[in-house]
Amino acid sequence: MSNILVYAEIEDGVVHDVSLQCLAKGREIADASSGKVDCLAVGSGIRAAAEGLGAFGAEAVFVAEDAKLEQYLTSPFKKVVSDFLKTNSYDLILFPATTVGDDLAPAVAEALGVACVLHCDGLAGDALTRLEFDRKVSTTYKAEGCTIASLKDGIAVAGAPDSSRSAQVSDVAVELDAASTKSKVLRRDVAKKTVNLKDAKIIVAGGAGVGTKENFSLIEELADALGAQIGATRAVVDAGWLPADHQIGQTGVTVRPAVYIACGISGAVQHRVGMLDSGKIIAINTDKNAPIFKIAHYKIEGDLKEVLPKLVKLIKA
Amino acid sequence: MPGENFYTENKDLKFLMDEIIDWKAIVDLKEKIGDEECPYDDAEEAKATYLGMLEDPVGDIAAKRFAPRAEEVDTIGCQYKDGEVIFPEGLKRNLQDLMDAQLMGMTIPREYGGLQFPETVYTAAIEVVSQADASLMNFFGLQGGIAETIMEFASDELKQQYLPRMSTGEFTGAMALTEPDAGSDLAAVSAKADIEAEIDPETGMWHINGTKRFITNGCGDVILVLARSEDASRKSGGRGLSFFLVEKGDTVKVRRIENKLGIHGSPTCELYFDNSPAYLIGRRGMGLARYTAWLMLAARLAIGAQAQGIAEAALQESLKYAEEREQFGKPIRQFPQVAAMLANMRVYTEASRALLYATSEIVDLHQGAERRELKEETKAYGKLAEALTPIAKYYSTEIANKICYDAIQIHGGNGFMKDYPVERLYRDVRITNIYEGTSQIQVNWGISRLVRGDLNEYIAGLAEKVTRNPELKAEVDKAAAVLQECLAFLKEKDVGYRELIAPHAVDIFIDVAVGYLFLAQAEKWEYKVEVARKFIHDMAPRVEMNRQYTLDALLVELNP
Amino acid sequence: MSYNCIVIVREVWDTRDLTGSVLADNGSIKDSMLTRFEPEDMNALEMALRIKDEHGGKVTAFSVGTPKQVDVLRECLYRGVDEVVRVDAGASSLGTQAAAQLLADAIGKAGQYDLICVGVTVADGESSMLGTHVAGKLGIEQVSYVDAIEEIGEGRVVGKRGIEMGYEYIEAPLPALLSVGVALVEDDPRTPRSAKAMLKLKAKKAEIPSADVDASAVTSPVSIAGREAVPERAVESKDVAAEDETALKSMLDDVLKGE
Repeated sequence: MSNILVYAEIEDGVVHDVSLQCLAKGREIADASSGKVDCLAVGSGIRAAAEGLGAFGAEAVFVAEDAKLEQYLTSPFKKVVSDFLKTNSYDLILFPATTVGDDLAPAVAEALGVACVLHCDGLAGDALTRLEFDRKVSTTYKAEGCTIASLKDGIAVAGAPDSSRSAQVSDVAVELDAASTKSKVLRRDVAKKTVNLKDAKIIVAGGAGVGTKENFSLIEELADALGAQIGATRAVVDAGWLPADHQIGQTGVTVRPAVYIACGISGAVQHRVGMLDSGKIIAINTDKNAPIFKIAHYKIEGDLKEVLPKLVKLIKA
Repeated sequence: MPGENFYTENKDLKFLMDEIIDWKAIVDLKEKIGDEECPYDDAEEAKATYLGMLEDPVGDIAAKRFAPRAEEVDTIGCQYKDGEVIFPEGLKRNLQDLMDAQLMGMTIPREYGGLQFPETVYTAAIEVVSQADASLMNFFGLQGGIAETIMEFASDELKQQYLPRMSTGEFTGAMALTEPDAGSDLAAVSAKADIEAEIDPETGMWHINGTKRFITNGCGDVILVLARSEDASRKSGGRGLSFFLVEKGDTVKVRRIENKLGIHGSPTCELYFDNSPAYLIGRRGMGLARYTAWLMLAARLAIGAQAQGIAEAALQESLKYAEEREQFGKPIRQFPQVAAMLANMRVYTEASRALLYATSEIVDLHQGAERRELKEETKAYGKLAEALTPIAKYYSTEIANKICYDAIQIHGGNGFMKDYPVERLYRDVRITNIYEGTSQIQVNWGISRLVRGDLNEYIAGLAEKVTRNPELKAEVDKAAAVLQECLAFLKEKDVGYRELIAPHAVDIFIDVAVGYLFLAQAEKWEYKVEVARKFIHDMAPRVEMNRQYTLDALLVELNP
Repeated sequence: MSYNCIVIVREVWDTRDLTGSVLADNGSIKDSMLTRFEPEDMNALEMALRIKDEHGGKVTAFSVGTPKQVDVLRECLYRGVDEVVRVDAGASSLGTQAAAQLLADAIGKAGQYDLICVGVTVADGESSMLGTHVAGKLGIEQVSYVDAIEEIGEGRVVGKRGIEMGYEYIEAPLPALLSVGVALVEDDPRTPRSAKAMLKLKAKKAEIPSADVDASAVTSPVSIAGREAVPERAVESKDVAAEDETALKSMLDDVLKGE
């Protein structure tokens, strides 16, 4: 029997998609072993979103709300989660493999002295598997006792909400002492989410090879013609050509569209991990040796300033 | 991961360093193993240290820092404003990186804060740096010759004063030899009293007045100046010239910098000395014959390495382009003429490298023998070094020019554009067979030594080292016989005739030497058998052609 | 104000440009696999060395286990680290949490420190978030995915933390631990520094002290149960000529037909 707790990461009143995937995966395992799946949400102004978790399969939802928890910080969140786990026992605690989940999971594991495995791609029984060596090796980990794991985007499909299901929602007392409030978030430069890349069927993405902010109009024109969303690499976001919500990859979103058109993207591993599972990948690049060509279904060696208008013309024809 | 390390990715250079250079011989002469001050327990450890240093920092910063900045350095170039030379940002960073990596004193003795590495390691480092940015070599690669000149000939006070700061890179050097009317003919320095050194009878301090031109890094801190110190009516020509050290200061003015075809990251200055305080280096009247000759020898090896680095860069760019570029549905490297051009580029890049490092090895043995005060060895190796250095410089720089020419050809129209690095390489390489003595001057030196028989034993020694591939060796032996035939013939000819055919006779020598060197390499690396086969196959008609030119030259003056 | 910084450095498998199988027939990692200095640890090292360059102080590097191909501690000495400490891992390779315990024990014995820097592991195949575990065991504040230090002084450090939708700036009291991300390198191709030649000459035989910790006393709650080769992702790749409109059209038809 597996009793599972899923950490529900909530940002701007929305549960993170990977947390929902964790919940779906947890549900699957609990069902197979007649266990249970609960959720724990920590933050401020998260109650409504947390209550909705029942519809996604959570049996009990625990909400730790406090104005001091408005923004994520390791120590106070660690304190709240580990305090909760000291009085509530679970076999498996699942975190989304995000910059929050990967930060919090090992911190909580340390506070409790339990096992921790990050970035899992698979979970079956007590076996945690992870793709390693540039996805060439799948390593299986076994842990003793209560185990904390973070699961990668793609671990499961977040099911549609089932409004007939609901969870018992209870509050968790938040006790923050001086030791857990030493650090501060001074400011955040975070883009508001204006695009939904995860649900996009077609994505046209640009990298440093686009050259200038102005050249992004070529990407926009192609995206318009295809009804596609626009994605970007970290280099593009850091250069200020596009806001960060367009970023795909390691510290951006992971996407699996049917068609992914990579324009001027060299294909560094940090970007590749976010788009590798796209249905069809078209890569346009001037450098024939660009790593992106190794994973592309269609390789176009050429200048995107010439190729993109041609594609637009052909689509419109 | 190509482009990560210009040393480890250069298989041929690495092979020479790993397998061919006789480090034990060099280390035995240049280091006192067992001495407390010596950082090595044995030659193996010294070798591992040298080669480890070529990998990191040299190969690492060349690939990761210098190469990415090369285009910017070339495009912006050095500027001149109000008496000051302004470096492009990339160059400033390059120099800072060289200082941070503690590489500026590569050959300076440890007691003066340097690494005390052999010339061969320095030559390899210069090649690797030049592959990334040829212009940077004029800071990194000339430092050694200037420091060594100070080391060999200057007083202890001067050594203490300047060498430690040259080791850290705080001071860079320049050599001020050329004048408006004295380029190749340095004995003409100050024939018209353009630059003169005078001694103040009260203080005993020398002062220099006059103009020097085409001075690489003339805005540097330590300037070695060749100037007339003796009354021209009593001691004319080279005998009246002495060597001085002048430190940068108010009295040394940069009047302008040249607007050049290439190496834009290296400022070429016109200097005006306005009663500049100067220190005499060595003995009066020996400026040209001894000190300049020494300095030029070191600088020539460095320029050879610079050309070698440019050739390697051009080869790599061409290989990449010929693989990427498709015409008629396939990569252009698959077309016979392109394939042949690429193969030739590789063979001759390796040929000039073989001769260059064989020469630097001799230079090391010479320096080592001299420091050990081994009279006979010093004389023997000195004779070889003096003969081989100009020939190696001539060969490396001419080959590099040819390779850059072919590199543009492989790139086609694209190569003519500034979009590809070969355009810069083509401009940068063009100075290498001109400065520190033109190719014509080099082969004149070379032919005089060859005719005197200075290299006969050397050639025989190279032949003896070959124990396998007898049929290939037989071909080289034939060429060696042709060389002897030509040299015997030239003994009876006057200097004018010898200089007229110098490039041809020297080319025969090079074919023979490289043929044997390749065969020796082939005994350590199977791949080199093919390289040797190709080189020896192609040299037979060339040797015959050069034989005919040598034996029957026709000089005409044509006045329609 | 000067700072005592600690850097944790690791030797990891080089997963770039892997060709062929990684695993030997018995399921272990092939002997022919290369290793390298964990690149994010190199960023962490650069971060600590820049603090020393700017503010003075001392940098001490710690690593766990015996070197395979690269001695990361010696590499640290070559780059200007003042002291290095090898933490003996015993015979077997340790999991992340056991390694963190040994490191925490060793660091705890090393005296006063202000800041610990360590890389966030990006390349799969090695332990992740070692820093968070170490900070937890030492009971100090930590910030992860730090791309740059914005400010250090007055008993605190401000780290620029790269997150999904941008950056956040976290102030933590010293001593603190920073897990350093990928984007440290901000200006020009100024990658983490190379070795310094003179240091390399001097430090090549420097003695590397071992920490007084007991590897047999720590256990890992996680163990590797097995490794399996993952079949190569077969991509049927087509070249499409940029100037060939017919080919471009048929490509578009192919990929868009389901849409």
